[in-house]
Amino acid sequence: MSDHHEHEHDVACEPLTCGRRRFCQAAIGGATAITVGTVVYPIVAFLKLPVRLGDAKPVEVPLERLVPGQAYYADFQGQQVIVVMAEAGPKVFDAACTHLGCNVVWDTAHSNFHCPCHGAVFSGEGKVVSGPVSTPLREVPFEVKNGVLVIS
Amino acid sequence: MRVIRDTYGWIDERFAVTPLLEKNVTKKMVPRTLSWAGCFGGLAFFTFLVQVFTGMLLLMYYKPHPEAAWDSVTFIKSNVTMGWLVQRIHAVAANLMIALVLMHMARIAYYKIYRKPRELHWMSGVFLLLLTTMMAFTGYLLPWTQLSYWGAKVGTEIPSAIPIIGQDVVEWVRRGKAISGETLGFFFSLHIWILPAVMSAFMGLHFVMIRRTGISRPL
Repeated sequence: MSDHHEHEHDVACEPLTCGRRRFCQAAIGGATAITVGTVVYPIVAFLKLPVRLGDAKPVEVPLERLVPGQAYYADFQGQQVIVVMAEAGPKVFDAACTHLGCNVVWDTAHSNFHCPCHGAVFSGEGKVVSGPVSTPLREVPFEVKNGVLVIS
Repeated sequence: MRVIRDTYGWIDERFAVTPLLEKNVTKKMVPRTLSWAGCFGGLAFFTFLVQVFTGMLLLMYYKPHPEAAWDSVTFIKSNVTMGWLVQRIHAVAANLMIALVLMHMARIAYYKIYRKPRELHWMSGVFLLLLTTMMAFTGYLLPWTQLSYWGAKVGTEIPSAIPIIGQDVVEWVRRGKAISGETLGFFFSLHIWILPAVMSAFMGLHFVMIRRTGISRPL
């Protein structure tokens, strides 16, 4: 029995039966592929990163709330951003330190940013002052509409 | 195709899979008189597996907290791609499973298959029915809708009919006097871990028993 089973693929057949066999194999293979596809496709689609409605929400800060020399902290798409009022106008920085990504803190007394993790210091313009960093803080683009600062 | 066949051959050479498959699947003999009604148990197991896998997917987004549960289920149904389908399959498979388990039991009862040597099959089966209904009941609360809430309220009221300890049992099941976040957490743990684990163990026993005694041979 098992001997017959092993040589099944080698059995020579009439052209007619060979065609039938190929057709049946293709039909079964195709049906199996469709069945597997209808199971696999929804699963793969489900695992895809979904669109969270909150992600698109812009951050709005009224300009009168900004005090020169002080910082305003906000959450933009799950990442902290810091708004500082400079003499030339407001600036927005990504709070992630360019060293290893800790959130930097605004130091009002020295008018600079200080990272609590490894002591990096950035100036009020985001430039490197000291510490284990070489890249300035990332500036976040924004626009001012009717006296409201909008980050989107 | 050749790659698949060669890989299978490589594994087969080392672990002798083919005789195992032939003995248990492809050349397994079942009574000639066995009707399609003998599939209900297997189909119930299939719906169980469907729920295990869809449940794993739903668990990626579900949050077992009274303030987040309903939102997370709504999120699955409206924001996650195919989420509505996965959630529906999970719920429909649950209903089908109850129906299939009852059909399976009805057949066993009608043909008196529960008699010696298969008494333990029946007993473990009754326990599995109980576990299946508990799975359905605990799962029903998780979306935290009005229906879920009142369903759980009425359902957990049932043990109060037990004399003397009834009210204590109700409070124990509810984890307090009323249905609350505690109930949700408790039902969640039952639904995703405790009950499936116990169920899997009993199913394993149930299946081993059938292999030992063989399928009942109708006249």
